[in-house]
Amino acid sequence: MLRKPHYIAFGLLALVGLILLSLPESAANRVKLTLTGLFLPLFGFTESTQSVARRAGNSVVPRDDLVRELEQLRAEKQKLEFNLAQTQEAVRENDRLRQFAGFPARQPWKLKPARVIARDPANWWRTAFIDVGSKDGVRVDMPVITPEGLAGRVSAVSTARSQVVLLGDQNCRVAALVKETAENGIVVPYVSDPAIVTLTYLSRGTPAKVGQAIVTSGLELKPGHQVLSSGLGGVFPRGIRIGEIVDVRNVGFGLYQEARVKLAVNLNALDQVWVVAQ
Amino acid sequence: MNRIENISILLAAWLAVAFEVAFNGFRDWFGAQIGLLPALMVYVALSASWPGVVLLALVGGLMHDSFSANPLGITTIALAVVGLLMRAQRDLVLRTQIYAQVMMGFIASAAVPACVVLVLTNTHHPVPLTWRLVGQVMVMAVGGAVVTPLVFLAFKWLGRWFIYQPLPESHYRDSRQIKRTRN
Repeated sequence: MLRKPHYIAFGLLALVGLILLSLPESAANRVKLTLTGLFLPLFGFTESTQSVARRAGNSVVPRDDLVRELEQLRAEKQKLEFNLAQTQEAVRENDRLRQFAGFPARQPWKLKPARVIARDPANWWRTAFIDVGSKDGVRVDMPVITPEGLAGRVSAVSTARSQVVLLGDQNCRVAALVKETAENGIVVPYVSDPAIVTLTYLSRGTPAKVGQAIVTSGLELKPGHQVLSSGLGGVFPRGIRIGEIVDVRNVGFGLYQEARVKLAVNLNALDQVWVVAQ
Repeated sequence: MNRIENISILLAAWLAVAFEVAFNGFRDWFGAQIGLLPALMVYVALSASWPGVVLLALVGGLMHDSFSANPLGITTIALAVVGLLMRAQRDLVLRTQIYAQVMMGFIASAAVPACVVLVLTNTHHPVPLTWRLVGQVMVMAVGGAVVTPLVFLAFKWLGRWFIYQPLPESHYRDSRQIKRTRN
């Protein structure tokens, strides 16, 4: 049976637990980010080990392979330079047209590279830690992307580290649109599969022509359609790729549609990410 | 409780949390990360003194929650409940037997996430109760069952290095030897 020391120990721990649970969220986040500082040697060790492994791997690559890769990269660079010149011209043209139309100029993104240093140990949340913080200009709610698409948003920031809540977590909802049909919806988690999210609150149809009644056949959305961030809500900029539709079904007694969306980013293999400072 | 025991518990908790946040192999292979803290709690509850249980629940729980979206302190409560219950009943557990270690590891590794989910359902961060979650808890329980005997083994080795070992008893007594002489 329980003896006296056990009562005291359990009472003490329950008290500490309840005090911590009742802390305001901002204070709890500060304590959490401070505690992660205990693991700085681990992050340093991991970083240096990876760096040594990379260097060791590079030193054994045959010279012929390196020369071949160099030639490929040179060809790719030239191609990208042509594309860049074209894009810059298009941007200039877009800026001129926006100026004529009286629209404000679009601000370019400032991208901050970051590395994922830790994952959430609890299986029911989808968060990660990155190695940039407030000293690098990172703020709460900044979007986090990869070349493949949207990964999540920053949820807490300390001086040198930040917590990112990833797509598919309950605390990361994104206003999105389907590229082909311009249907608006909200990306919410899909509980059965971490590689999939649900695009919900989609209307059952769109006007076929201006002024015409809404088409309610629900045939517009098809598997393979691209889902992008819509820019509504102000957190995520418009046009970042989220994924592609897998299937569509009617929900809410047929009032609206829901689409399952396969994420463009493999969140399990997340390593290098970019924080978007808009 | 000696100082070596305290330090080794803290170090093991640090390593356990470091493993959970930095190693993603189990998450990729089985769809769930295996928790090492419950296995460690089984060892501490069955072999160490009760302040060790308090220390592990407090420090391990806080370190675990600091990397998680869980509210701070929730894992401390779950580890404390499991650890103190095991500690209170430890006279009934054959803690040197491997099957007992496996069973206790299984129970603790299932009970800790179940406790956390139960508390979370009463906060404003509820977790959806799905079959996927049940599967993840089962993976954690099986993983914990496998890891617990290894934790006992690791601490046994550590004990050999840092703790004085009892001298083996011998039935030899110099005073009881028959002295044989020629007379």
